[in-house]
Amino acid sequence: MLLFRSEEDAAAWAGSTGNSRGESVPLMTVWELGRDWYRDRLDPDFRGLTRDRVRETFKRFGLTSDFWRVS
Amino acid sequence: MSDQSTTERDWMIRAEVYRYMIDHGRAPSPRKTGDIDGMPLEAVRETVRRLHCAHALFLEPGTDRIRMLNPFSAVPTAYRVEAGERSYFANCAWDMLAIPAMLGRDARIHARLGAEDTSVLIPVTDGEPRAAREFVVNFSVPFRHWYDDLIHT
Repeated sequence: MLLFRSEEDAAAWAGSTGNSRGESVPLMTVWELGRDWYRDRLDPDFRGLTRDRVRETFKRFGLTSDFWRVS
Repeated sequence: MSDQSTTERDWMIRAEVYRYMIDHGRAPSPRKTGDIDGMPLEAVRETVRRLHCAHALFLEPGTDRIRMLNPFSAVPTAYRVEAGERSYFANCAWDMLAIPAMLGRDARIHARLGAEDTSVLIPVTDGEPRAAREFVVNFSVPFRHWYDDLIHT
């Protein structure tokens, strides 16, 4: 997961390197996503992420395309 | 995802390993992990392998050395986070944001842009990153393939 100044820069990078374009997510959304994803990682009772939790988290942040599908 | 083969002791050791990373800015060696919990080296190896299989940490391929304690990286990367008196490496552009978010600390994030040599500084103050609104994190790999090759992801 790489950082870019803009979605256009990410598209240009993918085009010039042959890497998959994937999806660009605004930095502030990723900040909130990270806060949610890792919210209990240091909790002694943490026992891993469940598929349901991942699915719900992506949905909460509007990451609902097939790219984010949890199989 | 969760794996039923881990034991309660494995998860307790995992918590200690995270604490070591936060306190020292680096992952403990297998020997150091054994020192923390008074475990023989072979027992440490078995524990970290089970935690690796449970995606609770990730080992350097073919070894028993910790490579990732998400969001921390145990090896140098293009994403460095200064938080308080400690400096940490993150695995990727998402994890560089997740470190101060998880720790609840202000920070200075030094991040490489794309695959260029150019780096930017993103301060995190009062619980928010101070970066241009147009900045994005690009996810190249669909979620269902993230764990096929986590280093590449």
